[in-house]
Amino acid sequence: MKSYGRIRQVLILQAIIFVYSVNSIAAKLASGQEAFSGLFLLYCGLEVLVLGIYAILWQQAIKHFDISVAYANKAMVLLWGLLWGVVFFGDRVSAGKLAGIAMVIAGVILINRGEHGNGAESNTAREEEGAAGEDLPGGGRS
Amino acid sequence: MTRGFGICLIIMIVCELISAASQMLLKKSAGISYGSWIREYVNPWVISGYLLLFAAMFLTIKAYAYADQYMHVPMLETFGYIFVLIMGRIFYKEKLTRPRILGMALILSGILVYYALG
Repeated sequence: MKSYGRIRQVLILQAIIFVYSVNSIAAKLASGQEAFSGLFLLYCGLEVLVLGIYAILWQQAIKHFDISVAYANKAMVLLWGLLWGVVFFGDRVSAGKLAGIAMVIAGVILINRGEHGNGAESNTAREEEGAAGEDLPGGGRS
Repeated sequence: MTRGFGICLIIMIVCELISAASQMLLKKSAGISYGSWIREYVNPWVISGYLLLFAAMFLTIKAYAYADQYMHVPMLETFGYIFVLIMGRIFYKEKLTRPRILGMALILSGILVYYALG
């Protein structure tokens, strides 16, 4: 039951990271425009919108994670970035690039698996202590 | 290494230091219990955190302007993971467990492989 809930939290975090990855498309498009031209402002506005949605969701999600673990999950942006690069910007995929990204993803999985429940203790416990990521004896009972 | 990539690299290192600092502020707020959900967002920690992220956003746009490939920027963003890991250890005493260190090493090796073989 416990690990089931954890998988769900990681999946939600990953969905939020997918939303975040879309902002890089807007950033790249903005970079190709003359600064403060109409299109530049439009793409910046789009980026702010995506980042805004991401921000609201992210703030809820990080309650359940150590910040270093939550942030490491963002490495999955690379996978989405590769897709956007190929689809929108004519980047080329190669075996080397795929191997590199596969290693990055393996690293993210390792970080998520290696938590020992440290970030998964209840919020109440966390709030009462007033310090996130407080070390718990025996890895924490969660 | 081209000059454009060098500038892009420097911009992204500064940008990721700022982003990592902003995550520390956001985490600070996430650890506090507020009465209402509005207060979860309208508080000094979150507002200053997102102001920093806003600055980082403009730096990222600048970095894209210097990068000859779109994927350079997402790859260089991974510096942020190291900065957050180190700052998480300093500010929140988050554990540097062996799987975390190994995972981080794997992420960084992946980036090297991406550039060396890609």
